[in-house]
Amino acid sequence: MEKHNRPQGRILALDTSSAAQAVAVLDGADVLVESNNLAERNHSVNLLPEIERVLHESGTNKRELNGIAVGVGPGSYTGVRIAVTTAKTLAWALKLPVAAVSSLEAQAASGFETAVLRGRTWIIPLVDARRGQAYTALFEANVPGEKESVSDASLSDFSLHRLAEDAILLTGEWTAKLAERFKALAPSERPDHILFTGETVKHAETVLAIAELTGLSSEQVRLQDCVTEARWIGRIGQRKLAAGDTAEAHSLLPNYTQVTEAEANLLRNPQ
Amino acid sequence: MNNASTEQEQHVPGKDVHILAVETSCDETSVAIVKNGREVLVNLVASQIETHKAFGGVVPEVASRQHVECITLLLEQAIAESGLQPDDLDAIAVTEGPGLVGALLVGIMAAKAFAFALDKPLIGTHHIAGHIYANRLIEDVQYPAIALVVSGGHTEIVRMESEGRFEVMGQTRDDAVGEAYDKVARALGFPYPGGPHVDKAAQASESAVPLPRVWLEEGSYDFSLSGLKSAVLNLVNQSRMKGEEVDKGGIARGFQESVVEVLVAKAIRAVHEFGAKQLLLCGGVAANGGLRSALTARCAAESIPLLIPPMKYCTDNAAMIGAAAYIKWIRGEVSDLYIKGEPGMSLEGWSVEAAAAP
Ligand SMILES: [Zn+2]
Repeated sequence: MEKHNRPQGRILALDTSSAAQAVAVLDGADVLVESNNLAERNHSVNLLPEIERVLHESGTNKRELNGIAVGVGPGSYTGVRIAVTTAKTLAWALKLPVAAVSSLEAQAASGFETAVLRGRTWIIPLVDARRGQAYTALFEANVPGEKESVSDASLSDFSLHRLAEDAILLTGEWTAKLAERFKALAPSERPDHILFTGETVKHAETVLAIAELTGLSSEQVRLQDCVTEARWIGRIGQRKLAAGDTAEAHSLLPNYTQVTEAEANLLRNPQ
Repeated sequence: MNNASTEQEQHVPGKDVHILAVETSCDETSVAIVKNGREVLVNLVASQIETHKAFGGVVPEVASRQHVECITLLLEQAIAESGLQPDDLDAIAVTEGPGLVGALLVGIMAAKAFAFALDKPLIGTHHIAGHIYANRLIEDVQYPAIALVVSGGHTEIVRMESEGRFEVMGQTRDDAVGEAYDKVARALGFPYPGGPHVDKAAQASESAVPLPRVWLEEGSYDFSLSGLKSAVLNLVNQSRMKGEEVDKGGIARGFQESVVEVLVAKAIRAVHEFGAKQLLLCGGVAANGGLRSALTARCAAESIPLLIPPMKYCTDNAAMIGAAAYIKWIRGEVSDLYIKGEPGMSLEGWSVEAAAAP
């Protein structure tokens, strides 16, 4: 037995919830072809041609795929719908299992992989949602050892433990809540690092206040700009597919995290 | 519009052509399978009208969300009901525009993914061409023809010299007919969607409040409805300020008579000017009883053949998209996987390539 439940088979991974158009083909632990394209914001135009190219370049016949992993958001409503509609239609038409992956979890993993932090780390992904809000969540990773002793290969095997669901929150309030949560822990349980990932620029000033609120040094609180990368949609999706945690194509839907503005108004002022 | 043509897409005369069509330009999710551009094997429409009633109009984000919820279910059900296998389909057609961009996108992404999964050609289709070719689901179209397109988003007089060639002779400069009906309905206190209520009230009323006719410049085929709509709103406000009861029926009838008189006169003039062999009425407002009866009477008096599709093909549906896409398919004019939602798509630009001189 291998120590990890290594997924078998070839899958297509895609995400269009952020500025990057993310498409990859993975086979087991190997990322065969990956493209995280920031050049054009028009995901609806290029997504299918890009899927076609990535399948071709990885020598994959779409009929031989074993599954699909798709980022279901949260993020741009229209953006999320582009990948989700594509994934559910492909999954239905090609009769493939599909795994719904949190775009925030994949983004947190992308940022953590780049930041390379040892010990216990809280990872807080951020996707700007205007008016002081962000789509966000809370994960914990625990990578033991010194930087030198951990090879890159084993680094791609880390998994994030989710501590809070994906939600849209005011980043100021969220930062204060995180600090309270930190202080409520026994000192031995507290994270060594707090890492904010993703679209950090707009919210940097607000979230960096957590250093003062927790008493962590500025070295221990870090920002890591990143996008949601296709390989992480794929890796997280593979684990779900291997565990049988799949969605039915028809019921696969974006995770908007909130009702539409029109519905919210209607709930407040019924006509 | 990107055109591409390959060997496998060549039309084989005598062989049946099955096109699966998807329409999500506004608040109806629809999937149809049409044989040879005229025979509807299945036409499924998931209407969101009950949802949008609560908002008093179509909310684009709500519409887009609902399209995602039912698109693959409708695809599956359409294929099951047609008795065909996916591989029996010859092409996948989808409304490319005009419409709500976020709503269009759902249908476009689903159609692209399905076409890609099946290795079938994709045909991006113009929504108004769909409304016009809804007529071909019922009868042959004789050219040259004039189409009067009236719906919630469109008011156009279109000339067709030959199959698939469109020339917009005139269009509204402000509100579409259906839009003006909805606004007048709201002013008169009718629930959304208000058009049918105004039509009913107008037909039931014994008298008509006189309202202006907006003809625009001599010879123009354009329309303007915002002045008429404002006149109605003023009348309603004046009555309310004076504490009088609003003469809903009289206003509805006055409004409808004004709209119908101008629409009919301009459409008939276009038929005569261009020697059209047929007049095609299409779009959701073709359901309007006042318009149908006035146009029917006038065409009968002048011996002009008038085509009006049945109601299920006048409101937004995918069968009409399949009918329009067929005229592209038989000419080998198909799209590539780069198409996107085109909210302001040109009808003339969607015309088929001009036929070579015989
Ligand atoms: Zn329409």
